[in-house]
Amino acid sequence: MSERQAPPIEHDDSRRRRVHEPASASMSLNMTPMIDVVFLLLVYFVLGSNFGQQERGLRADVPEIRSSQQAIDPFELPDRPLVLQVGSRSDRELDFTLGADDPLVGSLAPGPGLSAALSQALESLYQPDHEVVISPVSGTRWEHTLEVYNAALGAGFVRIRFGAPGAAR
Amino acid sequence: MRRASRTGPRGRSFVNLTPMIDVVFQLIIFFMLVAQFSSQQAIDLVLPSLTESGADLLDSEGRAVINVVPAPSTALEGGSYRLGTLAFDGSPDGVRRLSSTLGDLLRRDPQVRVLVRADRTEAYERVHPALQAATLAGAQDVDLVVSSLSVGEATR
Repeated sequence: MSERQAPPIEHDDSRRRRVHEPASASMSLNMTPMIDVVFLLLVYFVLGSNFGQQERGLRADVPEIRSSQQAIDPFELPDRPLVLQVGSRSDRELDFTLGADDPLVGSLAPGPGLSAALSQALESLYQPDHEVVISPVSGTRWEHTLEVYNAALGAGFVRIRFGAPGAAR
Repeated sequence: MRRASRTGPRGRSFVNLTPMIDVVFQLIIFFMLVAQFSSQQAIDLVLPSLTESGADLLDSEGRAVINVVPAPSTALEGGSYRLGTLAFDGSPDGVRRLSSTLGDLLRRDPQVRVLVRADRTEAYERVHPALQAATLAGAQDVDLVVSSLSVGEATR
């Protein structure tokens, strides 16, 4: 082996240098394929992960068109829906006022207990298919409206609809 | 000697395919990504987050999304409501056009789910016409889009 390598070193000094230079250069870590692979991995995980905000859907009945014109008759007790009036108090989450038109329903406070309070009202006063109308006053934030809707759903009401935006009281 | 030094570079002058393949792969992936993003047609909204939400996961197919465009960007988007790439203004006429477009869509495919996306800060009176448009279009029910994060998580 040493016999084979010896002649070029002896005869051609310039050639020997040319042969050895690339060899010594390849001793340093070749970054290019590594970067390629790293980029591909990065892109794979970018694709694999879901960057989009996780969206979920609350199924809701569409509002009846006539509800905006038709006034609710206060003397028609059996069919009278429970109207939940919502109004935003500030821009913060869960900072809104909530009132039920039925005096038998106790005070309702926004927060984790809201669903339980509505559930209690449902148990003692109503059938599950009793109609609930969510009636936000003008300017109520969508977030607060949905919070009430979600609480009513969680309480077990099955017929919930959205009323027309009412005048602020 | 000069001839020999010429053959050296000529020997190496084949096209190096490796970087080209790398670049082509990157381009393919880039266009795949872009195609996926453009099909979402969703405008950037902060969706409402709820306490103990009972919301379901949404199917990615067969849905018509009504976006309620936030008031500051209505001029940019060309209207108060958007259905896919179509924009509708907030006037009664615009809402009527929205519902007739949605109605055509539902007649063609009654399985289409109607989704209503609105920002958490949106006023209810701007969302209500979108719900009414769905009623007029003949939708049985709608899906109100909410964040999967519960209250407090989104703003943190």
